[in-house]
Amino acid sequence: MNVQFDNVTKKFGSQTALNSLSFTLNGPKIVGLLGRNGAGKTTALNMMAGCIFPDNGSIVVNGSSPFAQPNNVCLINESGNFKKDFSIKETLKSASLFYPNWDQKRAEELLDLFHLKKSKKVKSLSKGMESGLGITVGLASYSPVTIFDEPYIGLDAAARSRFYDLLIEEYERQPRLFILSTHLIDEAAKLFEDVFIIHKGALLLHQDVETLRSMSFSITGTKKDVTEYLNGKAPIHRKEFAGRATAYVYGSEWNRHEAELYRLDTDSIPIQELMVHLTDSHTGGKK
Amino acid sequence: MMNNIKAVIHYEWTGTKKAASVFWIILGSTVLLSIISAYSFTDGEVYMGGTSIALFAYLTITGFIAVKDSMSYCIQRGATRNQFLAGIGLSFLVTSIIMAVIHTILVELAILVTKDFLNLKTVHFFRLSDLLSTSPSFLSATVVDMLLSFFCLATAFLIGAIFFRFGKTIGLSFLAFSGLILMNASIQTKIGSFLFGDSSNAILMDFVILFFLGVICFFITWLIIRKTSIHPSIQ
Repeated sequence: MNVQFDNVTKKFGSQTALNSLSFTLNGPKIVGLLGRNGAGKTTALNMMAGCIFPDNGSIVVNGSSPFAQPNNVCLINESGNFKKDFSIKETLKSASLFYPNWDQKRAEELLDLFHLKKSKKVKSLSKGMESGLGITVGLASYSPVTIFDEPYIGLDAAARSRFYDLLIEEYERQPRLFILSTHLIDEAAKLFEDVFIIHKGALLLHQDVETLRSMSFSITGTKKDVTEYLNGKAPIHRKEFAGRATAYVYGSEWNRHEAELYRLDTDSIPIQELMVHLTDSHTGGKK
Repeated sequence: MMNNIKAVIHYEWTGTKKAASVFWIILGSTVLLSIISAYSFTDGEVYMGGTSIALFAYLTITGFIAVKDSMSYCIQRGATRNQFLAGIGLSFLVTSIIMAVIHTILVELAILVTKDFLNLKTVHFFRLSDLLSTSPSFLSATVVDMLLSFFCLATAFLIGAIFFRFGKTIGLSFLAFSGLILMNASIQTKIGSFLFGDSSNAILMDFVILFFLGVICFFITWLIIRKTSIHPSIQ
């Protein structure tokens, strides 16, 4: 199970959504696709599912074009996934016909978990309930590539936590390539094995989480010590308060052990903050 | 391949079933009310041709919204565009047959009630198969309705595809252009000779030609949507 983008470009009118985007995702694993609003995440995810054609470049999912044979992918968007007039029972029946690996028993277990009654119409569901239905369809599809694009609009913290547990449970039960795009990065970060950051339609970062954590850290100390350690090199973010300075650094040129020799305190940077500062408009999304 | 086509047909049929049920309940009630009112209040001649118009209008709307309504869903769920078109084409064909059969039954029942039970000689039902003969058979009435039903679905599907793919401006321009063509005097003469042809065989053949025009519309739709992205909100 893999997804490959090769120089994919997509424009909507004068706006460039994807700009020569290239990457390869190899599963099974849980991947976080991150980026700011308008970065091109949803466009990229829709392309993986064969929904949006690229202007240039090629996309391969499990060895074939998603536009010729897209059955490998299940895409659950943040909303509008289901026909409003359908009941939940009809929605599941329809999904079961589209997804060859569909597990009806699991779907019904998940419905119970999200307190969804099969007789209810989709239009009568709250946002959170509709998200629960989306998660149910996504997980029960057992598609080799399962994509969740902001899947939990309207879900409370407890239900989101249940979703994260379910995702891990399902991954252990049948490993597949899960791609999760979310703005609640800190919550979901513990799930990710790989992280992708897209910025202005291009790939800014693609790394496994362990390497990412080892390559990025914060240093805190007196302004003098921090400045001396930085030695003219630009951190991705710097803040000062009451005579002390904190700098966020990212990249192979930075060494955590070396920083500690400068009497600086070091700490991990949450992935959310890393994404925010790497895509900061002040640095133009560059280190 | 076949599984996805089956899935498209199931999706389309589940949606159509509900809307069609409501349509037939409303149309059946209207016919019933018309018969009651004709029986109770009217002394003069009453001509009822609205059932055919209602049926074709309903199917035109169904065909028009099919692209936006069904294509987005089916492709997101994993059908290719070709599978979607094959599924929806078969679905249109089956819908045309079923709707034509129901329409013929409704009109035949209405004729039976008015002529035989209520002995109302002043109420006349008109349908397109009356162009073939004064008292068309069940089969010929159904075939004519089916041919025209498919034509309505397919042409509206094409128009829906143009709106979906190219947007409102080009869609409306296409409609305006089509309207201008239909207003052309020579085209109108041809439509007149089509409706009031010399023989029933010639008229039936015209309906068959309409059906094949529908098939052509369907293939043009394929050309339009085979490279269409299905995320209208960001298209």
